[in-house]
Amino acid sequence: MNKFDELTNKYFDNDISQNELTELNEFLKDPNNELLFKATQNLESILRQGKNINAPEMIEEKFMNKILHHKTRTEVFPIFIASIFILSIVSVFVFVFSFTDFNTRQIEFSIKIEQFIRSMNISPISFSLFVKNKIVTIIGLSSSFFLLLSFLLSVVSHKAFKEKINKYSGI
Amino acid sequence: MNHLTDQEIINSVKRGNAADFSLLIDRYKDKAFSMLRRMLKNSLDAEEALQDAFLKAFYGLNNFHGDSQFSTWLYKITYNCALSMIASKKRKIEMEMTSIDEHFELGNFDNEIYSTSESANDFIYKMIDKLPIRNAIVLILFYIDGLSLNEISSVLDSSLVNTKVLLHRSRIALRNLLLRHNYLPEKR
Repeated sequence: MNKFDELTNKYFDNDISQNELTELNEFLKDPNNELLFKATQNLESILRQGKNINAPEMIEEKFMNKILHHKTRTEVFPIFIASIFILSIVSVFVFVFSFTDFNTRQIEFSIKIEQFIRSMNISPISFSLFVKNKIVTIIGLSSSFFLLLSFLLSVVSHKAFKEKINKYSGI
Repeated sequence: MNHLTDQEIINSVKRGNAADFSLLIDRYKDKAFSMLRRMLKNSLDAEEALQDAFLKAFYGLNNFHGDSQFSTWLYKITYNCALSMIASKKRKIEMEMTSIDEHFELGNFDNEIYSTSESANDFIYKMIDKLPIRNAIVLILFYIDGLSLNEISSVLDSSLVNTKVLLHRSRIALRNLLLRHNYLPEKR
């Protein structure tokens, strides 16, 4: 872009200083530049007369129906997902506590696992010690809780997944 | 209800009066549709993208804190919806191909457009449709919608300097076209 075009643009952006205006006036003494300047003025006037293309009729009503309809249905999604994960978390707690609270049942359970492990040809002693350890139980319980909770948070906040589920559920 | 400011309507919608959002749709539908129509080149796509834009605006209203004007924020959403639609339809996106340092060439189709134009106005608006998307949008937002260059740069997510360069190049290119086809300014 040459100096004259640069000054012309500044003039039409209302961004021209007094010195630049003087410089522009010097350029305009040349008839070719004057013609270019007037053509820009003409263009400015054409562009400012421009009108928007109107949106189709009754579009507000259509969009509002969609918006209100969309709202009630998408709100079900997080509740649905949250319910599944909360149920899973509660199940893990119930399952673990049902075996840790009652020693006899815990022993019965461990024996069943030992039998199963034996049938799989794995050394049962080390596995039995591992299962019976309370610290391991607490760590397992906490890990399951946090894992399920993080799954819940990531699924609920995952927009693409949410959209996909909505799509398949016909929303 | 038309006397309410955008912010008053937004506050009402945020308080739970979802139906008041229709006032914002009514206020901005033509401007947004016009921009989409020029970007997407057909009314059906423009209507679909417009719906998408208003849906996004409605659900994103809680993220609008009034840092910019609602119109600027809506234009930005609208512009991005149009870009998504173009990308999803795998159309040729000139704006992405044309860097700010490259010159665009309008000379290939201006003769054809000139022959079907009734006036300088008609010619100019048909030529705007042929500009790379960003150049055309800068002109529309600046001249028709009256946005400032700062607002436009926010809509396009580009720097103020780049936005100015887009406007200047488009202006000079269109001026040269007017002269080439003898749409001469009236003599004083």
